[in-house]
Amino acid sequence: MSEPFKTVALMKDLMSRYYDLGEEARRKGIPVVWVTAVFPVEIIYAMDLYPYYPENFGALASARKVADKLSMAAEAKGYFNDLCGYARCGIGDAYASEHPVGKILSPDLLLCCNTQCGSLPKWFEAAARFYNKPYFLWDSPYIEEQTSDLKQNYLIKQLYELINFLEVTTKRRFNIDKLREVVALSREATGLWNDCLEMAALKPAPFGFFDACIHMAPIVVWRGRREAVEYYRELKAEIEERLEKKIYAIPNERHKVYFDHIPVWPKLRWFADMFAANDTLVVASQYTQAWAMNFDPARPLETLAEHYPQQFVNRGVDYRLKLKVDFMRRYNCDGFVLFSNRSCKPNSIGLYDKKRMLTEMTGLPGVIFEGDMSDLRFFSEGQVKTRFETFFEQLG
Amino acid sequence: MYVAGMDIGSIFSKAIILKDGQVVASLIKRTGGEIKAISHRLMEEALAPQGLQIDDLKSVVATGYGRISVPFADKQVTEISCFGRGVANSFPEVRTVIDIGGQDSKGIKIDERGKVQDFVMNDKCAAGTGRFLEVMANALEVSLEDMGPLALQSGSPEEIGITCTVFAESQVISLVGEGRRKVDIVAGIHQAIAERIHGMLRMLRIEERIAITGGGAKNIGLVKELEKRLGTELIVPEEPQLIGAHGAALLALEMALGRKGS
Repeated sequence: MSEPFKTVALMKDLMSRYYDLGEEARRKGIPVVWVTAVFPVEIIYAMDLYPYYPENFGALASARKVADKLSMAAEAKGYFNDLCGYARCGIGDAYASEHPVGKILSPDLLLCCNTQCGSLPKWFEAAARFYNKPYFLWDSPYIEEQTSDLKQNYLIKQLYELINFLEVTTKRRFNIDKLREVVALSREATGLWNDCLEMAALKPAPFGFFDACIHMAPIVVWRGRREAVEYYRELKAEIEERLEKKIYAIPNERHKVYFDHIPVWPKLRWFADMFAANDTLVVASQYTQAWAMNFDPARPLETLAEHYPQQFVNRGVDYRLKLKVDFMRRYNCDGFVLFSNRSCKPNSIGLYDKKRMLTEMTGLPGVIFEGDMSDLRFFSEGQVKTRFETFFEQLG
Repeated sequence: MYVAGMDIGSIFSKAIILKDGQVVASLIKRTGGEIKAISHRLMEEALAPQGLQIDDLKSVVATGYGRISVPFADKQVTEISCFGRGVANSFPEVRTVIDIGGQDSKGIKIDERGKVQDFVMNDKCAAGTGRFLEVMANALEVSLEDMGPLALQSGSPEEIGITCTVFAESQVISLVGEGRRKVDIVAGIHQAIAERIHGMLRMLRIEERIAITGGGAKNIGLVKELEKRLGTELIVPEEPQLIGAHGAALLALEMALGRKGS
């Protein structure tokens, strides 16, 4: 990880403002709407509702190393420790008597999209029963290679249903022009986010994956609002400034590698230091790239229906392999890392085959490590380290 | 010129001294207690018959899980690279190494110089490792050394599930309680562990020839069960536990000669 960015202070302000707005919404009677991370939040913002991200709560609990404590509260209620770590944190906090990262904000409505996985709908369904609030699923069909008119129409039709659901439950009017404005802001922010990520391709690079993990919170929660645009404009300017001053992401960049997935949040610093000590910069991940979308504000509903369901997790193996290879080429990678994440089955399936195929396609060495994005009970430092050290020996 | 390799494993620690590239001393001792002190003692003991001291070594490479705690090592290299290098030195025809250590079992694919091409390791679970065999030997009150030969005596091995060392141990205790024959239980244990390791190896594209190293290679029952599953004869080095330390010593020699290390 680079020496701290000045914008980190700005981000902290922005994030505490986001949480304050949640409390304020509750006080003022503005509906608190639970949404999944890859969901057309633009519609929520266009209706002046407050979107709350339970996954973000999970990531926060994970980064603060309390996922195990919250998870055990869920496990005590019969939720198995093999479930998604974020879900275990969110469900655990709902039952827990102690709230080490603050209490998860209870929903007035729950909106979920299944483009990321099958666990989120189950979590949201359980939460809808627990809080006894209305739940809406935006059902995304699996999109192997190309989408079809049938699928696209199905997705758009459901967005109309969603809008109807929101108008009825919140008694607020939806306005398509407002949505256009929000989508335009979303597009601007995601474009700037993409610009920041692209700078990891420079050698040496001023910005890498672990920096992106620190700076990604606003693109998740503020996307669609002017705050996100302003934040990423600042961040981009700061990266450019650091580039001019020759301040790089790691002191001595020799290798670039692609990291396929989410980080191990409670070990973010440990991973960043390990890569830096081996002169290796992690440059890209399909995870941080998931919010680098390119919307068309002129066709707001259509563009949302195109982008969100076409996320990598909802795609066929061939597409996903091509996507990874494309990242490795664009960022001039020397190797790749695959993360067998106990919390995330859709991302962890078939990794040994994927590794072999990726090596055949690129000629690059890869490493697979086991762990959990949230819960350190499923992380064995010594064994992970041995795998990575062998990988670094392979990189040379 | 003297160089040394040291392999601090989870159960055993190993040292090898090379003089002008030839092995002149080797030693295997149980790991236990503080690694810094053990590595000193082990190395001094290995050097004593040569009338040498640690300072006389031109270069030392440490490997194994305790590699970072060897204070006099010039470099740390993972056991995966060291086993590859060690095997290639004696058996350049080997393309796949199965290493059964105390807490890890690994499959390593190497080129003719011993450079690692690909590898797989067990997850953080003792099933399929040396520790598993040790736990089972204790449960059966059989010495670890006798486990392999006993396994070969059975005509009808018991079925043992092996998703977990703890569950397998309680299963073994139940079988003993039911009065089943010890040789059949031991044979069942070997089948189960071989099945587990074979499952892991299938994640690699196994290429022949195949060598087996680590403490597990000294277990004839395990070697036979793996051979059955792999459909080929395994190469078992004379001192399979020392291969990692030997690989480390060869890398130390390369360092001392100024060649690029692994």
